[in-house]
Amino acid sequence: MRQKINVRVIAAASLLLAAQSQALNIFEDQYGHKMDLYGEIGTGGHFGADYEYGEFYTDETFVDDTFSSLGIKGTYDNIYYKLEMDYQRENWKGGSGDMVLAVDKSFFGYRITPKHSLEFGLTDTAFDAYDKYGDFTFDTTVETGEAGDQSSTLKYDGQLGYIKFGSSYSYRGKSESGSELGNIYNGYIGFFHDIFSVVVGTERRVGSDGLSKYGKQELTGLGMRLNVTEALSFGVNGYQEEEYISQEKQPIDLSDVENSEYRYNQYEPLDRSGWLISSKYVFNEKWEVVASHNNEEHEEWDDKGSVFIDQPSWGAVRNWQTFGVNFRPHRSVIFSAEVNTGEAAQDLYAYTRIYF
Amino acid sequence: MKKIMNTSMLAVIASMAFSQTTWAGATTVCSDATDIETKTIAEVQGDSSSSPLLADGVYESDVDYKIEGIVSTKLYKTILLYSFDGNPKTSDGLYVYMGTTDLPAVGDTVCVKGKVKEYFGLTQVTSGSDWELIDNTTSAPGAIDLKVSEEDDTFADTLERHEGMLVNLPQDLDDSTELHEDMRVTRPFGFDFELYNNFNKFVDNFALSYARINQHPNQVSVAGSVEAEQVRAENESALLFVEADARANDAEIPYYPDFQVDPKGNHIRINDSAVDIKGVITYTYGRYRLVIPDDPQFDVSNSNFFRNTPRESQPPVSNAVNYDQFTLRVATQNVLNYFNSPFGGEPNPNGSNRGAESLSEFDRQTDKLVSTLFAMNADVLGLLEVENNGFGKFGAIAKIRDELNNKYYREEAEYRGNPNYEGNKYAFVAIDSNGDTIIDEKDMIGGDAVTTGIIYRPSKMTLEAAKVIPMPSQHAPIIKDEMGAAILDKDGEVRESGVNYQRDSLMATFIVHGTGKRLTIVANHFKSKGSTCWEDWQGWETWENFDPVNDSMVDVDFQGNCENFRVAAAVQLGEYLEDVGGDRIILGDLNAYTYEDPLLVLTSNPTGKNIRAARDTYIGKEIQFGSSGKKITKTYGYLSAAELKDHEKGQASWSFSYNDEVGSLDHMLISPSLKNNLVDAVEWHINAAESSYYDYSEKHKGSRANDLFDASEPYRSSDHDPAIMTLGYHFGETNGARVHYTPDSNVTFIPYAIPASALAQEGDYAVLSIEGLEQRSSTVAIPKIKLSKGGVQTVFFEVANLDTGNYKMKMSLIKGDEAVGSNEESVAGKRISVADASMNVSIGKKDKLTPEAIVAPYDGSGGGGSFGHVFILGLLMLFGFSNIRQRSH
Repeated sequence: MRQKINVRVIAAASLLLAAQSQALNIFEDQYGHKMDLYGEIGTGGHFGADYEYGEFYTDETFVDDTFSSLGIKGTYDNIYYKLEMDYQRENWKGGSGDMVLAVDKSFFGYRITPKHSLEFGLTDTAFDAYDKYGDFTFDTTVETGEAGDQSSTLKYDGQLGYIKFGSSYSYRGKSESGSELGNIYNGYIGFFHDIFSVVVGTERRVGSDGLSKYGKQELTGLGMRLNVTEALSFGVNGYQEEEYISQEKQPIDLSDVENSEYRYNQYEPLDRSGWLISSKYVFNEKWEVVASHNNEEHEEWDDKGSVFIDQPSWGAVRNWQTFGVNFRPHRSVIFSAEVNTGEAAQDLYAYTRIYF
Repeated sequence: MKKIMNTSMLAVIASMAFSQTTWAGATTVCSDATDIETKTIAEVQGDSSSSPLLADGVYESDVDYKIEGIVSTKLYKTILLYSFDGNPKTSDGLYVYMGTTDLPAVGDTVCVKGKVKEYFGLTQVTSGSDWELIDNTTSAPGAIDLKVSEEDDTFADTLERHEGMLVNLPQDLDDSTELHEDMRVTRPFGFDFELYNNFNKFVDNFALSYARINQHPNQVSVAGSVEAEQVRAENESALLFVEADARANDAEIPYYPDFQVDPKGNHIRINDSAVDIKGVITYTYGRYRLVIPDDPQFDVSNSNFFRNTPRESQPPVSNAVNYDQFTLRVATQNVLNYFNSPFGGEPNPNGSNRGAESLSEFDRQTDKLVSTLFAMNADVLGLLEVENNGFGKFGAIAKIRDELNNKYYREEAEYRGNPNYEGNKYAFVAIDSNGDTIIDEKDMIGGDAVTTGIIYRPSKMTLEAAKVIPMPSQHAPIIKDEMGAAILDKDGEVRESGVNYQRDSLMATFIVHGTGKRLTIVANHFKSKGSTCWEDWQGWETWENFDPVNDSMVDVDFQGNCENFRVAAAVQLGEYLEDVGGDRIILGDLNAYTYEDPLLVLTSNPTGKNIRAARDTYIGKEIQFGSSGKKITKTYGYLSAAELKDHEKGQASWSFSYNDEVGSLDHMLISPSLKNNLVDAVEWHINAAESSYYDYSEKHKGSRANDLFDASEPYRSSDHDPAIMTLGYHFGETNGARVHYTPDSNVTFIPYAIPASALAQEGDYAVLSIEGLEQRSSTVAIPKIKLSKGGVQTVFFEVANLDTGNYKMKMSLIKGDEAVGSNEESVAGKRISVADASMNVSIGKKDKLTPEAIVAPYDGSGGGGSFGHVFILGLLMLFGFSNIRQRSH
């Protein structure tokens, strides 16, 4: 679920091309060295949440989705850095439901040239920046299993003309719950133009060597945008993933209840895929509408005729649609409401967010 | 009569009394019947299997006939008439049922009157109680040697020619060959389940087969093949059951008085040749039978049985290996439902007991089992049909371990090598099934009343991993009748619910001491052939005369029931073990003969037989093949150890006897990687070959239960024979891993195989140096060894106080008696360099006899690799960072 958070950030970035955050400048000198304070405050949540879809921590009609972040960022010559703290409700499946403070980013970067940089620390993996590319919706729709923020990450981003590319390596990646994922390799390459852009990304996880249920994984994603006019845009996003999940869990040491140790074996592959098409129409600086059609297929949903598996109500494949409206009374404030129809995990996502 | 007079006085008295009574029935029944046609015995018998006097489909003549002949012998209310006609195609004997015990004397020529009848296949005359004496001066012809003829198509033809005759079983039934075709015991003496199941008859007997024992068709040919059908047909025609004319009490063989006196020493075993046994050839209930008259002159003794496969108190498995090798003995044994829950053991989770029914029986079962396992002397042993009541102190597997370990009571070091040395004690493999990291009574394998187990010697192997391999269950549709109702048996139970289970398998991976190699053992007990699965019912509506309530399934390929379900298990086992890799041995009762589908899957399918796995099978909750099952084309390449050795020895192995056929249900399948390690493999015929009279049960043995039982002998400790093999390893054999040793009483034995090229001589010294001792070197004693002989040999350094850890060991041979130490300086210049050897060694502790939860190493199925590998280069390669660097310059 780590990616859920990042999705939100990226979605916000894509939505608010005009609504740039008003970061507070803490320090700046004549050499261009500076430090800014930035952040966001968001409140709202999921109405008509459906627990069956496995996206929420609790079986409630409304699931709060409060999220705030506060960070500092700065530059010294070619070196840049960022420290960002998130305060958020762990509202995803397996989450505590509590508001939790966590360091979301903590890294140094080095700008080799203006368009080529290296980062090291706790930061997004390279593909994380584009795994939702082509999705104009405000809330999460089709979710990839991309690794998201990882500590001990070395990342490179570069650009050559219209071509952007990047890759990252994360040592002993971890899931949001702290489970071992193994080393993570991750990258993207894309063509970015004002009218049409396309990006493909891939991720490989080597697996946890039996330390968690997560084995090796291969993920491929695709995102496209077409700006037909300045007001009308279309987007496509999709992914295909094969992830090995352990079928056998053997305890090693249960003496510490909080840190029980297990050996995982008998990994079996699970295939997942998903795609969406979305469209955005901008009426003016304050109003825009977004619509999407979404499709997801998870192997674990498919009962294949099994007498033991309770196939979810939507079957092995689900399709749903969203219709949303975004209102910006100010360039740093957004009110968003998205109605979901079809085989969706919620009826409505309503949210307010302020950036600074 | 003359013969009888020449036997014992008891026999004479008996025959005289008999003779007096027989005259009472003599009449003029034939003389008076002037309007009745007389027929010869040959005319009644004809030269086919039924009488020519009866039309097809007619089983009794409408009219009476008069038949004359010499009374060759008598059975209960029956006389056997004899008349020689010179035609070898017709029998010279005739079975005449008199319905009375007032019978004529043997040797008299008499005439009887009655109807000719085919009584369940036996041509006989059903006479009234009257008979007419024709001549009392004739003599009985005596027993005629049973001989086959060139004109006989089958042995059944031979028997048919002798129907109603008193015959003798000679040492050679076929004079046309140089071989000695005799009659072999193909089923030991015991209850005839075939007669019980098909005719509700309670009879004890044994079965003979012509020239060889009957092997199950699927033991020698691919199940379903024409060849297999031919084998079954040959088996059927070769059969001759041996019956007693006299009624017998439980556990008595009326014609075998020595068995009455000393039943343990006068046995009838499979593959015994039955020679000079006399009786009447009859045909009843679909079988030819040799009925031994109730007359002492027909009694048999131990001398009538030649032991082609004699009893052996030790398994006949070879340990012969080269001087630089040692052996590991691997075995499997079905323990005949060893249940201790009613006798102080942990409760059975299902509340069932399939084993001993009294403490006395349980003690007998335990004692006999221990005798067997001790004699087997296996280093690792797969056990089947052990009660599934946990791994606690009072579980069945713990009981076996404890009772067996009582045999190893010699604790002193001087008894190393002695069979009773405590270093031979066993531990058992346990699974922490409830995941609490503690091994106790709550930990079990699957949910069946019985399970598989593995015991091993911690002195020989160290357990590295233990797992349960889940076997398929079936959840197919219920079988219904044409009205849509479930088909029920006579007790109201659903005959085929579509839901079927089979026992999970137990896998253990060991480090073989003295090597760096791992050995994975899997103990298996596949679904039985008895109860049905969904596939067995397909097409039942079309089966002729099939009674779905009572009848057994049609079994055209002789695989019994559920072979498709067992195939599913074989695939699961094969696939699972492919992931495990390395040296693997599949042990156990696979409930499939050597050429049946599950075995073809696990080994090879050279004829390309169409093999299907059952439908709707699940591994746990995961679908295995789906609702259509699956055609199985993949095979897993295992080799049958027994079969490999059979080919070398020119013999056929078998481990189980069912009805009159034998075959191997108990297998030892080795991965091809072990082929060169295989030294020998046998199936030790202590059980299947023996009568069930010798088992622990006290039922149906009357007052003779104790007379029959011998706890000190292994015979009939189970219904399955153990399968035993030896693997040979070179000292220090490894695929790269450290060679592993464990100390025995603080002494570690490090072998040193001195090669021929060293030209070792008496008086040379073998020395050992150990790297890695560091500061502990002063506490470790490493003696050098003075050779007591020259030539190739293996010597053992007895290293004391060697702690657990990793070391490098170097062995050298030093010329003459000049060696003064084992360090490098002292042996410099004196070493015979061609004899140098070294190995990386790990010293570990011996596994405890009380099991602990073993955490399996990561199996690699989830990918991965060392976390220490930082593939920065991979990152740079992804999108050409090097190009960027060039640009930036």
